[in-house]
Amino acid sequence: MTALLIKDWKLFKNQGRYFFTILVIAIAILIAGSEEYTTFTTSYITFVVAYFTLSTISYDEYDNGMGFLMALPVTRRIYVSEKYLLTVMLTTGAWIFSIGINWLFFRSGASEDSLQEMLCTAPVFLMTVFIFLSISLPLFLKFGPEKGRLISFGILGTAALAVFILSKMNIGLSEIKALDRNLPEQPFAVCGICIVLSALIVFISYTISVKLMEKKEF
Amino acid sequence: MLIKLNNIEKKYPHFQLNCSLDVPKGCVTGLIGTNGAGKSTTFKIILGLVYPDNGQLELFQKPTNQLTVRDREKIGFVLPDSGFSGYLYVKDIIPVLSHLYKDFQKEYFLRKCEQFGLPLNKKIKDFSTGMKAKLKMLTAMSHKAELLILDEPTSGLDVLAREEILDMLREYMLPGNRSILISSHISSDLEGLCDDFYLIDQGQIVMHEEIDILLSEYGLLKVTEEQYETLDKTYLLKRKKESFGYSCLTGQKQFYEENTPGIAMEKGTIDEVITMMIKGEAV
Repeated sequence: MTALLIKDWKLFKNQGRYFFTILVIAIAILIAGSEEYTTFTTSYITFVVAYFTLSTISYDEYDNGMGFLMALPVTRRIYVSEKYLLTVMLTTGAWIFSIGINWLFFRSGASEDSLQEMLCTAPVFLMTVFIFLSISLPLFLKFGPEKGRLISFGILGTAALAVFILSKMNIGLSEIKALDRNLPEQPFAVCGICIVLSALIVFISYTISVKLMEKKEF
Repeated sequence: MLIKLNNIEKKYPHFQLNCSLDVPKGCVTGLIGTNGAGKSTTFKIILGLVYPDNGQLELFQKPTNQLTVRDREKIGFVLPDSGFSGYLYVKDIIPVLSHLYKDFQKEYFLRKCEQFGLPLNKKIKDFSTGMKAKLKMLTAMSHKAELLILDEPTSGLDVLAREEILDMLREYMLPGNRSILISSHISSDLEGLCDDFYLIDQGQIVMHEEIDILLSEYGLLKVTEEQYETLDKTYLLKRKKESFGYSCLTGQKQFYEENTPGIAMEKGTIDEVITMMIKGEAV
């Protein structure tokens, strides 16, 4: 697995200029933004890095490279494990990094309320990214990056539309409002719930991905 | 046997493979055939990229489902149009290879990169076809593999580069306990390298012969229609209608040289054998 992690790390490093640009944009937004905690920087940096972990599958597929990788002394289970490990490591790393940047920028001026808001919204966002990755990774592995991307965005779009329609119909709105009122007062409970749910979703997704890859032909 | 395929079957909607072949220790075996004959499918089955519907496949005398990662380290391979991501540099793949293969020879790899003119600081996607082919060969050969599985390894290489690669393969075989299964569209490469070959056509193995026997005992008779009528056809394998009469493939060249004086006879080559075995009609 180390060899695959090194390969993906090298791919990540070779995109250094791209990630540097993203960091500059994120910092520019922070400087231009208000002195209150903004969820944008966290979501932006975390999502871009998370999406990179998916795009490593595109790099692997480049020039029919997936067949080459699967013929190396690497089992399909190891390949999938490496992808999930990379995803969890890089996404969580980017998330911590983005929170760190926020904290550095606003530590002097931020109110207690905005820091508490950060502690509550950031784990929820990380869990949302893990849900997105848990849906996308098996789809990318099964259908390839092009189709996988379309299907995963299709699923997320449909889910967003369903939430929008339900909110318009006032279904579940009162419960969500109650959660929104109560959760900021219990940041550690929010963190705990998010960690447990994320781990469960990622594990189910991993199990599906292993089965898909073990059946796949190249 | 380092590779043993016994009645391996794979069915696709418009193609069916049914293949048996052996690659003994110390031998270079060629797999030849036209485009779409089933060569690449056979290679992919051996490498575990495609699952056979039926049949038995053994590598290193083990069923493939019992192969360990360590066993797979003993295999070097080249697949056409497939390799490390083009977004990596050659220098990037060195630590990857050294973690994949316990016996990776870094010094040898770097020396050969220099010899082949492969820059370490250039993305693989910017390499020429020939450079990519050399890198793939180098990747396959730089970890003391016991078995090389090479599908079209010399494709895209110029004459000099091909010779360099073939020399590397001859040098690789020197220890005597290694084997190669190779396919190539360039028959002269196979004639100069292989001990034996299998001819595959429409998914079926139609011929298996040693190269020395092919070159010494196979011949192409060129006869007029009158000569053909009186010819002893016992040792003719295939015939093909020509403007002058018939071309006939035989595996007993000496018989016709001794018993039919004055008959026009050409030496057997892989190209002639492929053409006659596939395009020729039964005698």
